[in-house]
Amino acid sequence: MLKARIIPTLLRKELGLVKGKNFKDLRRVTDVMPLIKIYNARDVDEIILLDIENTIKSKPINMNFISGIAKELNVPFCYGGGITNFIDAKNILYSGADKIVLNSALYDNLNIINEISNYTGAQSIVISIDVKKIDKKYYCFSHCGSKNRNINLFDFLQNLSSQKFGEIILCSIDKEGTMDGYDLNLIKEVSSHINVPIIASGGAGSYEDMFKALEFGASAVAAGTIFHFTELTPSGAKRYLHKKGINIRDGFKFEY
Amino acid sequence: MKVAIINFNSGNLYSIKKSITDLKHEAFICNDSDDLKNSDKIILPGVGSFHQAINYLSKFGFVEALNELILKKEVPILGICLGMQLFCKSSSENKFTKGLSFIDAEVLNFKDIGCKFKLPHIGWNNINIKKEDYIFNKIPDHSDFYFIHNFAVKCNQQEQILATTNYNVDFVSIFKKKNIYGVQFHPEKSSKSGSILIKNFLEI
Repeated sequence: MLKARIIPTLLRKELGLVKGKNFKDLRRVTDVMPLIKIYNARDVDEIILLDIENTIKSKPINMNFISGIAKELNVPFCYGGGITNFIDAKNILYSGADKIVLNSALYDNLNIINEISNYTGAQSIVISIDVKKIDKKYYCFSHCGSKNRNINLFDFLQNLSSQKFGEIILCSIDKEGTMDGYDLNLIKEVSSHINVPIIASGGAGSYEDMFKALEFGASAVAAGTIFHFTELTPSGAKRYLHKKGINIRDGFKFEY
Repeated sequence: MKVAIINFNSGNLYSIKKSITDLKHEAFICNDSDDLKNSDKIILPGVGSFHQAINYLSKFGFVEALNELILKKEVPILGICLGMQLFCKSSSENKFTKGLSFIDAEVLNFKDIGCKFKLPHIGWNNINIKKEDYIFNKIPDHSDFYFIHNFAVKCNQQEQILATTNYNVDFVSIFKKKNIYGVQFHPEKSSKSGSILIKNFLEI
């Protein structure tokens, strides 16, 4: 039985990890490496690291930084931030990331997905979509929520249907960092609309929120604030979800 | 011991190398089929498409070298994900393509074996052990490993199936024929259970 994944999302800016609310008001959390080491030691299901500075400032991607992180991890590592072409994607995978996240670049050239997936296989590509609700409709935003692309989410999903990729990180900008729950309606509509796994993102404030997101069709739940600023942990989430009947990965038990 | 990791020129070989060096064994990325001879064990990783991978292996002399080392000299080899699939007779990925044919098995799209769940099959899933083997040393039945794939292996010889996994349908997650092991998941990304499985392979 496939297990629901609980994924800490780390946002990097300048030299450390940050976290904001509604994609604004960033607070510094910690240095990158100590947290990566802790999550690896705690055997999380997967890690998503998004370098938000690369996207905003169009800075070159630091491959040494990526390989430094990959060196510490024995679990899947998904990297995003500033990827605009096939060469970036290839170098990131060579540096030790397992999956790459595409977001802002998609709005200029959607075909970048197939350009990369023809080479790496579709499973290495994660599509990240940041949406905001305006007049009861969802619109797509790029560049860390700063640019409204004026495209309806479902039109965008329709455009994506010609491209080969593995999964979607679906983030509600309205919910992000608020800790008042995922946008369940959004998760439900998208997961019933599209036949690839959805990673719910934005708004987790309790383990119950994660349970609901999974009930509404998410295959995995990503969370930042809840893990950075409260006493809640990925393993606490798993214990809770397990009690509620969700299949989770219950760390490895040695047999002696 | 020296472990060769065949370089396909596609994707992440780094984590496989790391998983071996963490176990205090020597591993090298093998770019030249001549260098395969200098290894005690071989790992065939695989990210990318079946068709491209087979073309690459034959173009750079790996097919001949593998036939000699694996079939005649019986050097232990571990195929990971696409690497496992390449051991099979054929794959229907993109177009019908012949594989290395070490194992009497076919590679099929999940949809074609009746899977109605979302694809790819991504995430942690458990194995169900079908046949005892040293590869399971200290790995309890139903341990979780990390999977990420759209295509699955269908074995024609039941006795070669060491473990299956269920994702709406049962598929082969580990097979073995003599010195040839294939795993559909990524042990190098599967935390402790994966590390023990690699250790077991290196001890075989």
